Amino acid sequence: MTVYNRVTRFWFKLLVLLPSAWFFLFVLLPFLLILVVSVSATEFAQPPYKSILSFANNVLQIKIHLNNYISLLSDAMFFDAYVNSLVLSLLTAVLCLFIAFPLAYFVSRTSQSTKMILLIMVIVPSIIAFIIRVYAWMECINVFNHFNCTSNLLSSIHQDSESLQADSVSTGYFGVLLVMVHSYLPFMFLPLYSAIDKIPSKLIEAAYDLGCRPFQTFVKVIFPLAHSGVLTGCAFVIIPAMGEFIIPDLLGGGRILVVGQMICDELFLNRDWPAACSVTIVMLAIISVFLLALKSRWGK
Amino acid sequence: MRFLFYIVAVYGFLYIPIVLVVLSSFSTSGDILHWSGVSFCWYRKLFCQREIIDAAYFSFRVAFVSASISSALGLLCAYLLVNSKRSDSWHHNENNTDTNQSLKEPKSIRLLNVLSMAPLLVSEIVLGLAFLLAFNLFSNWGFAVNPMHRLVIAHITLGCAYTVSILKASLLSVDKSIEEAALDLGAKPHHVFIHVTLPIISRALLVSWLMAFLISMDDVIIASFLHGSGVVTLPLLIFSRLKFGVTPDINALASILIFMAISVSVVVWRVMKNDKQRDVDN
Repeated sequence: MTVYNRVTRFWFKLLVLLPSAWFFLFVLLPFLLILVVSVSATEFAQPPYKSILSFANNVLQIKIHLNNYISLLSDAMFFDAYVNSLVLSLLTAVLCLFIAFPLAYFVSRTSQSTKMILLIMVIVPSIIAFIIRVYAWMECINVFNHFNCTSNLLSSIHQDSESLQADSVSTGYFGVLLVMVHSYLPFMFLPLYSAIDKIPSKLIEAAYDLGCRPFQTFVKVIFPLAHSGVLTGCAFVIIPAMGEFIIPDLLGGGRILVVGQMICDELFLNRDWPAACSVTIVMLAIISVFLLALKSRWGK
Repeated sequence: MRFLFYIVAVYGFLYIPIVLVVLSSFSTSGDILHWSGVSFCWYRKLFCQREIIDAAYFSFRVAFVSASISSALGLLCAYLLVNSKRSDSWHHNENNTDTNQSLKEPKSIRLLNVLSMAPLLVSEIVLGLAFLLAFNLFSNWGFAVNPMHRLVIAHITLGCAYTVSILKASLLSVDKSIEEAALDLGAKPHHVFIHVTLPIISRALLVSWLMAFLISMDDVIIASFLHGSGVVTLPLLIFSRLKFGVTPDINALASILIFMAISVSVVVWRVMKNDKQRDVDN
């Protein structure tokens, strides 16, 4: 019996080793590398950064450059990019919340068979490749523009008249927001749905019986019980939306400066990898501070 | 009634662009606005383009390999996570003196749990940057990885985040008395796994494979960070087409991909429905 157990434990340890090695190599190491490169100096070489470890006179030296962060803080362009990204992702999260909450409530209160179909119908658009959805919206906005029903509001792509150019930053913004809401709606919907689905309908009935109006029921019963879903949904929307650059690039015509675009530009145009890494680190810091603040404010 | 109107509006918002693209792919003029008849000419034109066929084949290979490996790795991970979490699994049969040693495990296991979920906690662009730096470092150390393998490794790691969570939930729902019965009847742990546990979770395994496949087919950002010279993936090709001029045959391509996504979700739906039905029958 003991031999058998020892063999089992040996295999267990060996089996743990394989995925651990994988995740150390391809998750932990790459993430640490971003941090390390963000404090190293830029160099015109391959790779375009200087190792922070150097070996001179038999002494191991660690040189940390904080120039990237300082230049990042002093440059107004970066500040604009962060503000733009933050505002865009917050607006997306709020709009998603407003659209998804009643939907999730409605879906959770329908019969079992309808529920399944409605759920699948929300999930299907998110299964379709992201780039296809963006393309579909580009076509769709094109059609809207043709019928002129939204005249200036949505015009963002295929816009060649110079006269509209001054206007188009704000007009493109609406299109970008629309597509972002469409893309991230399922991320908000699913956590909300699973939170709302758990609320027993007895509680809501009780609130009605005790004389609550629908709005009061919502504020005093449904929303407090669903707030974990709201927090998770907000996190799921804000995290990817902060790094989003494809939608602003394609629909905003590259005129809306976002953090994702800054990272790409630093990386591929300027070949300044340390700058790209420091931009990323600051972005991650902003996201985590924001989410932690949200959690401590609203969470339990 | 007003609520119903709202629901219809939301579903309309979700589906109008998709329906529009599918419709315009059948238009002779390649445009829904200048409708002049139904034809399949854009589909024909699509299949004449070597570049698109190559990209689709490349994407398919990457997605197939990465989905398979990430399901396997995810299964292994989920199995380890679940079995270390269940204090009363087969370790329970051991003598009390031995359990101290097996209690050491959870720390490494917890780290494994966090690391496998980490790709979900950051934006895709951060993952792309991280992989770019890592593969650059590896090639400096003398382990150059070719572009396809880079992409496969990145997609496996991303896919694992999903497969681990799907399979973990599925493994936790397995009735452990069945496994224990097999162990009591003298089956070795690996036999129990192959003949008892695996058949029970086979549907979840299929779902997680499909999920990983779709994620790999979906990805633009990581691919744009990692692609080398040569073949690009299909989403990346579409992205560059969108940036530098759209041709109507993209409608046809989009329709095919939309059809694929819908059929996959129907398969998943049927699988889940049968699963639920079976639970009810039991």
